[in-house]
Amino acid sequence: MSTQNGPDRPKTPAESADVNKVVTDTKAAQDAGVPMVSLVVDGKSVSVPKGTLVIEAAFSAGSDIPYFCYHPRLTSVGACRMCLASVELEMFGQRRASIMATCTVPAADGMVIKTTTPDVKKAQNGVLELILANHPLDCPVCDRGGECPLQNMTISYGPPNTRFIEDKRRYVKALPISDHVVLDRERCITCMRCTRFASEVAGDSKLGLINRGAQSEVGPFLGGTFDSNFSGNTIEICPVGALTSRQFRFKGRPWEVKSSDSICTKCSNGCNIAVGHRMGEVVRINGRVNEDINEEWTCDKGKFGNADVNSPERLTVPLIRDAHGALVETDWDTALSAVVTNLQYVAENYGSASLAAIGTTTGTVEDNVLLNKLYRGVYSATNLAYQLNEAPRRLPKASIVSVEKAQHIVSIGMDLAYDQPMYYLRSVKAQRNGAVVVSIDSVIGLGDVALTPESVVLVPDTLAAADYQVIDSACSAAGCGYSVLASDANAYGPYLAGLDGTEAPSVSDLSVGLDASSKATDVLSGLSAGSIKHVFVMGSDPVTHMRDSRLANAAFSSDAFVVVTSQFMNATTAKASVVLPIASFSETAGSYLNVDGQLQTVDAVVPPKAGTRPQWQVMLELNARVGNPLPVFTPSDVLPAGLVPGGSE
Amino acid sequence: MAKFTDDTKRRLDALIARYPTAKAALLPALWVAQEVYGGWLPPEAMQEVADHLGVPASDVAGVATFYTMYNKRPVAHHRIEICQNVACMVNGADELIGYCERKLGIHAGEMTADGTFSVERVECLGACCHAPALMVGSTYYENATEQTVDKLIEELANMPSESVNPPQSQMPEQGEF
Ligand code: SF4
Ligand code: SF4
Ligand code: FES
Ligand code: FES
Repeated sequence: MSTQNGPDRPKTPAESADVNKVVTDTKAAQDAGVPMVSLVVDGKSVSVPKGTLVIEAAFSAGSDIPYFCYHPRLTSVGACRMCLASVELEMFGQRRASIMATCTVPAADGMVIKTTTPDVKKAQNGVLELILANHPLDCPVCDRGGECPLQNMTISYGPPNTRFIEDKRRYVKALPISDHVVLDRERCITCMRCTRFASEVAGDSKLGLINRGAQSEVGPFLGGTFDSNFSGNTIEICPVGALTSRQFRFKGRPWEVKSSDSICTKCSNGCNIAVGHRMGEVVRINGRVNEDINEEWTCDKGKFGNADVNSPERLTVPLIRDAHGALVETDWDTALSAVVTNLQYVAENYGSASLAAIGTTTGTVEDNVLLNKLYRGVYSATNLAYQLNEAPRRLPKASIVSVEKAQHIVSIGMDLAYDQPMYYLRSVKAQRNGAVVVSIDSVIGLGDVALTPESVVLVPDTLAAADYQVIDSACSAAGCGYSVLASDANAYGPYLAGLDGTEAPSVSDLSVGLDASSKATDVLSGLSAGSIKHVFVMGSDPVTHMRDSRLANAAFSSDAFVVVTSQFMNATTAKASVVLPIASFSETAGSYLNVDGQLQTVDAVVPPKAGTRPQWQVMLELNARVGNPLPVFTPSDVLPAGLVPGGSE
Repeated sequence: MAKFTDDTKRRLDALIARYPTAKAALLPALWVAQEVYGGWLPPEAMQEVADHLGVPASDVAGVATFYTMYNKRPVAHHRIEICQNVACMVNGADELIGYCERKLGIHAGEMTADGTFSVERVECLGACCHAPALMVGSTYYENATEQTVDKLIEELANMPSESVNPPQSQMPEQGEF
């Protein structure tokens, strides 16, 4: 036997994450003064907080116990029996040892745990032989093969062969249960991780277990579909290949997929993710641990939506408006020259008041810094905007983590599970602890909600200015305040980049709140009035996203020269003079400030799609072309001093 | 189509009141639903129970499908449930089941085309001392023979079905816990 077997076996990233979580929780409970119990695991004495499970105590002692159904973020069910170990304790005045499922037994004073005795080995063999009795062992065509806990546990703890010769249970193999997830009931070991995830974490109970014994099957409620915004997580926590991703299925073997740390930019929450890529192409998104944001989860928008980086719809060639008014393909040099020529022409003939720029709330802080250096730095332009909505500009009072401790949560005018997924998951936690969670469609319903000073009021950034006044007065009267939750991945990044013209902007300014003036309206009015003759729109789509769509349409139908950077065609690029195709989040490095004010910096994961360029490089080149060469080699070179990324763990 | 009437809901509320949580009333609530839905539990019945108890539908389905005595398919008016466990088996249960199958022209687990009878293999009925035993509705037939079967089929052919649920007297009364 190789030394990789048994307790010394290398752990998968998911297992290491589980063990880390146990160790951190144990320490936190100890620091919080939870009474300790002492026991001996494999000859080593350990003290753990009361309530710790034996399997967790064993992890803290550095022992290895194999498991399938146990998960540190789910309640224990003892469904798989993989975690058997010898537990010796005092019963009826006598010490006796017996084999127990350690994920269901709380550690107690004086216990002696043994994880490697011949009895334990035999029990582990037996459990695996039984689990495999009905398992199809179609590993060669199973997406999980190569990163499968069942394979790993079998090689480390399993019997070398089986005594079963009976037929295995058969089902329709790949059963789609939602747009994203395929179920293979033959492979399911009924560990109930997915069903517990659905009821305890996602809070929607969209998966259940029906029938019993060997006939047990997992699935959505009879005849329904697994429609949850969090379904993708079950793929990751399923210890076998029973739940697989329709998007990733057969896209590559897990060992060919490289994983790089990144953060999701599909919404403002900033979930920490591991981007799986194979031969330069993003193939899947997994969750990565960050206790302050996403714990270890992702939403489906992030997990599956980020596949748009591979979309054939991506822009890969710069576009320029020709003499006949049509947008035609061109090369980067021509496109950038056209931008520079117009910029210099407008600046010389009409002055800096005729120049404007709209910063990016989905790109990085650094993208905005370089935009600011060009327009404000070189040309002293002051018409620099970024906020397209009418919301008060202030970081939310309630952080993501704080919501799980709330007693009364009111969300107004949004689908929390879809719009603010990580706030939603914390609200489920709060609800499980007895909190009242209320969701109202619009401010009209606010009168019916009894607010108290402890109420946590969550509001999107897409309402009309008047709505915020209504909310503000209701919440000030109740003394609870309210939290505006930004939608975009980097809503305040442009502020930190200095687009407001503030000296040394900082995150703490944002906690206090900025003034409410919407510069975007000024820029758009200037455009439609003809006083602004050149505008650089960085990675946003004001024609679609401005509340005042009439103004936005008028602005971009004017004669002004409009430069737009974008990954896709949209209503604003359609009206542009020059369109520059830019790299996606996975193809560019930089920093983002998430919804509750955490600054996170990431590296590029894959090279930019052919023909596209990272936004910061485009801005660097434009700066150089107007005679402002900057000594910048990576985005972090321009991250304003004083901004220290909290980073991701 | 919802089938729970105000009366059904009153019965469910009375059941819920007996338990510390609404979820705990799930088993008796499913009996009520099975009665209201004509002897079986289609998904709509489970959904109605879920809605009334405030329990996720997937949990209700889990419980309803776990127990064989909740029917997940339409059932015959008269279900001839024949014990196939050890005591009955050694006393001729298999022969008795075969006799019923031939007589009614169906296999165990099926029901006659007119929906009057079905033959079902069940586990121990707790009447081992009078094996073989069979049960129709809530009536036991012990030391059953081919003649017993002939007679009961003749008698039941034109009788309306009795409740498939356990008699109310067997349901726990308030305060019995
Ligand atoms: S599908 Fe996977 S996670 Fe769900 S019960 Fe089966 S093995 Fe466990
Ligand atoms: S919650 Fe937001 S940041 Fe997290 S995975 Fe979903 S879209 Fe991405
Ligand atoms: S891990 Fe303990 S029973 Fe499954
Ligand atoms: S074995 Fe048939 S009644 Fe018990």
